[in-house]
Amino acid sequence: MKLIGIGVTNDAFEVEYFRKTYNVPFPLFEDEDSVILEQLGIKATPFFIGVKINDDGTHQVFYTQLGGFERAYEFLDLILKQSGLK
Amino acid sequence: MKRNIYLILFTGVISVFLMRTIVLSEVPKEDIYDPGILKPTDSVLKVKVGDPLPDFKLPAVSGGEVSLSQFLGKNNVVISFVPAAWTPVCSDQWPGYNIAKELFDKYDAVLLGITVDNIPTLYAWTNHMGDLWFPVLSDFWPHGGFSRKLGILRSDGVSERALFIVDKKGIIRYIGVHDINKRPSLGDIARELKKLEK
Repeated sequence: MKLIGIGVTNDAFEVEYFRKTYNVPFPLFEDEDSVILEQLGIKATPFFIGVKINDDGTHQVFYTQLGGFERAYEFLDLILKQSGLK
Repeated sequence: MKRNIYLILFTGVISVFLMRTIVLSEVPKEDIYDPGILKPTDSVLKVKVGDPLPDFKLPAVSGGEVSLSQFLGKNNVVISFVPAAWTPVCSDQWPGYNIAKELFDKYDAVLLGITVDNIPTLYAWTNHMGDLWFPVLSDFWPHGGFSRKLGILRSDGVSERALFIVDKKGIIRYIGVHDINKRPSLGDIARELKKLEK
């Protein structure tokens, strides 16, 4: 399971500041002009998308969630179950 | 062996993501009024870099009054004017600064947030931003008096989205009157604070 984050309306400086401040161990990308957000049709954030990428290069979205969560471990457990890995 | 990759992608304005997931505090989306796209700027500056910032004394949401003179000789001062409480960009800008206190500390700078809203409105609005570490001041009465003195009061009575950086001697070292529709980058403040060291 890989995790990536996208900072909507954040520029490279802000994303780097965030990554350093919180020692974020996974890749973060800036989406300063909300291009990615618009391409995905997301209206509000935070938004979570679970994607399964297959051997043949195809992929399926297996989970989406608008809004945050209270406990990280519960969210990760939910994602593992939704993905079929657990 | 299966080599499928599972990817979780999260998107969010970083400050908002943090507020939602860590301290669970954010201005509720349903309470934000969207005025649409506005004229980027709508005023004429009355001060310039190199001028002393006119002194001010404004009431703070946390109580009491804050003036420029109390920081003279002690701190650099960053002033963030945002146009209005309960609007989209403004509701993201200050929570973003909340994760950047160290940046301000590094350059001996205090941050002051100012709008032309009154104290009760600012109280209700900023209560949704978690514990802001910087004072929020009201330039409500006489309406937009300080904003007008600086030349950043727009024709509809709200201030520009503007940043002022003032050194320990009270001299304006940076003025950024930004497009009201866009949040200025934290990088702008970092870059300009760094210049104060020279």
